[in-house]
Amino acid sequence: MIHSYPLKSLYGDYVRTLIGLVFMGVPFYFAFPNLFMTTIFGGLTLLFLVFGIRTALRHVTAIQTSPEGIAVVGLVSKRIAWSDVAKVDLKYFSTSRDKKSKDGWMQLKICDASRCLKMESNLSGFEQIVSRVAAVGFHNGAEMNETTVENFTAMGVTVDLPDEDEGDG
Amino acid sequence: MLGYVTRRILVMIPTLIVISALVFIIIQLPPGDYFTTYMNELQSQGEAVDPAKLEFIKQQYGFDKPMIEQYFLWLTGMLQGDFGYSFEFSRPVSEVVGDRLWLSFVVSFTTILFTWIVAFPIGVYSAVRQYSVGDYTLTFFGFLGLATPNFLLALVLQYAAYIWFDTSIGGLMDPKFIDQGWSVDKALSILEHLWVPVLVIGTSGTAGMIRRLRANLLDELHKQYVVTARAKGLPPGKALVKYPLRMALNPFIADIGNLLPEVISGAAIVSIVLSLPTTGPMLLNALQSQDMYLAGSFLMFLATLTVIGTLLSDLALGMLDPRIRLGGGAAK
Repeated sequence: MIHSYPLKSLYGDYVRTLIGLVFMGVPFYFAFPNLFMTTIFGGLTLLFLVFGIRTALRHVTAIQTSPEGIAVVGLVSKRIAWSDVAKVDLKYFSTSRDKKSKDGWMQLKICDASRCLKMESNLSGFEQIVSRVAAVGFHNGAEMNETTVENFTAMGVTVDLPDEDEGDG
Repeated sequence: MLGYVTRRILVMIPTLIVISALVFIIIQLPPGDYFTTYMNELQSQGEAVDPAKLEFIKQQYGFDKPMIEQYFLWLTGMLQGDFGYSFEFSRPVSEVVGDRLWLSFVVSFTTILFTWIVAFPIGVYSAVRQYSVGDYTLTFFGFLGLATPNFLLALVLQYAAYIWFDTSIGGLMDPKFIDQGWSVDKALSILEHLWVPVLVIGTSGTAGMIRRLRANLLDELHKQYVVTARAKGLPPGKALVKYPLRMALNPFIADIGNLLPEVISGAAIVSIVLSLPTTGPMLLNALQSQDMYLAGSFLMFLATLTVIGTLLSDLALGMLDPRIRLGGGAAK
């Protein structure tokens, strides 16, 4: 199954890149003789440039899931077999401090022994991927922190685990 | 994290633009300007003022231009590191502020350290030993610290320092060192004077921090996960430090947003009472004399530090406080 970042969901990031480049790039131009200001605005311009490049990379990237594993297909391709999933991280980001805002987004990080894949919640079919990763992660005994487990619950992902007390008599 | 940082920085842009416009408007609001005030002052002393010269200076500094043009000149100047000219001191603002900045930094940074070092153990003790004699005693002193006006404490401590330690009244060093270069004696003199402002400015902050830490930690200690951890036999120290204390530290981290400008501005009223050569009294003087570039640039500097401090505290909170999405349903 192929999942991709819909263009509509990337518009926001492209607009942010543009605003950031204009509002940091113009002061960078004006600040030119002053080393301190040039460094600050130059660094911030670079940050938005990197953000823009990352958004463009997402634009041309697809996530492919199969019964064998999950892969990123694009300019940089990576693949992790489900059986090799060793660490799962699901984080929630929000610019609002109350963490109840609907403006937030989630980031899923899946790692095997040597590499990691990252994807965000604006990816089409993100919930299905999270469900699958949660099941695989629990099955493999992958490293997961409490935040990740809580975030699985917040997303309504439930996993049937073998009963720990079985066989205890 | 990159997405988070860029979004937070984008929020800062309109905030700073609005603050800069507000600062400029407020600085311009009082009738007249620095030169009018200065001219009136000279005339009241019977001194002659050449109106042509005054007009020339006004033109030189763009006072004859429309307000919006003055605003953009000020803004673009700041982007180039030119914070304007202080008419009262007849020096660039950056030089005037620079002189006092580091003394303000020393006073405020020591105060923050004092606040944290004192508040942290007392707050933890008060929460862990709730309703004990120690808790009541420390709470009493905490309320005393909150209730005592800083300027009153400043006067009392200055008197005590003079009577018992023979420390000269006011200032951050003995008068003989004021215009001297740096030496061990000067540094020792600063240390001798420093404890009074640190104690005065830090007392109310410490008391407030103790109350907040105590309340936060008590909330956490009464949660079910702590009860379960204790019931399962987790050592008390670990059951305290591992999660409850980490969660209760949030007010310390969230305070970074307020601390950065505090480090620079110092406590203006206490600084005036104690005659400290910090930036607080300088801002007050600049506002009184309508030294618009000095006051405006300094206020803008404080606002920028507040915004940067809030960004830093948000990033630190993100790392300290587990990012759990509250409320069910999928994110966008």
